[in-house]
Amino acid sequence: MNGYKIYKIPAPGAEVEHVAEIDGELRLGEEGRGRSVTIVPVVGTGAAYRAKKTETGIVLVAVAEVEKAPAPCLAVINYTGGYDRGRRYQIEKIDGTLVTITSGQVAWGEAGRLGGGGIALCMVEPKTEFMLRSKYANHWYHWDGYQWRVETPPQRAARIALLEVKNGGGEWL
Amino acid sequence: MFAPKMLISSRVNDYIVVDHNNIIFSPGWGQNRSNYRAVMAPLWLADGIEWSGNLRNPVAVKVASNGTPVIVPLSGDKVATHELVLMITYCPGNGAKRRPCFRVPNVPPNVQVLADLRTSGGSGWERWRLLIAPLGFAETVSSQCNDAKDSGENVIVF
Repeated sequence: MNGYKIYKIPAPGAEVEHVAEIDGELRLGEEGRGRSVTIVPVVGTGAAYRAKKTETGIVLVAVAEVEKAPAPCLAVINYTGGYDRGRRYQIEKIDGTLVTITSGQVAWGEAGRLGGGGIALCMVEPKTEFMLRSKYANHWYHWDGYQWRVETPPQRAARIALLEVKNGGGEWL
Repeated sequence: MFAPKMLISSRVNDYIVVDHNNIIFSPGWGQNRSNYRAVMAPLWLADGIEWSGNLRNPVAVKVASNGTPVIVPLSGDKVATHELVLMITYCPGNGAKRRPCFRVPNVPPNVQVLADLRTSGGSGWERWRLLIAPLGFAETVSSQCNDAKDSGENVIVF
């Protein structure tokens, strides 16, 4: 069985990092008040991974062979942001298939009115797009089966507009 | 056909700065937040060409269905009938309060706003607008501005 590459989005807006190897376990979230931690053990050796559901939780199985692209990938996605009254941070505007396998919660302080959010282990199918928000900025992430693309909303709008115009669309002024 | 111009208070340049095939919002005053280095308008160049520099030749403009303008550079022999003006209005922040602000709250009816981005919070502010205006618009506005220190605000009202 072939495995999938695993990537990490350390914070909303950050570039996506390839995780070459996970040492022993994957910790999602934190311990403490208003938080929850999920520990995902890793078994086997190799640079590619598959998630397996057991009776007691999720296990990542490391395998040597990587699935040929275009392929799904695993992603550890941090969706935390600064405090903003009434706002809950999550993975938003999913277009495609993104399955949250497991997740944990983080918070930035001991009391209220501080930032927080979650960290999730997800499986992302090719041609999937989603948005992560921080307090002031939004970023679009797109996995095409080969690589990631990160864009701000104006960058995305400009790329879509240029594509449309190159294909004969748009209106001349 | 539009002649590119950059209007910053009393200064008018006969070009618009292009950064990697895009006209970029890159303010110096205020906080950029989600608009940091936002694309105001992409340039339509041949596939594989990546260009940064001063866009001086006349251009055509096509607006996509999402409202984003796409700039199409033309050869230099075309005659412009209007101006494509990147108008940068601002109010200086800490350390430069004696420099006058440059405000243009609204534009006349014969001027079309293609893109409008501004800073949010921080010290001072900037607002960048990409406009299609009649020839001579940028010079007319700039001629009414005085950039000397302590000379008061430059507010151009139409």
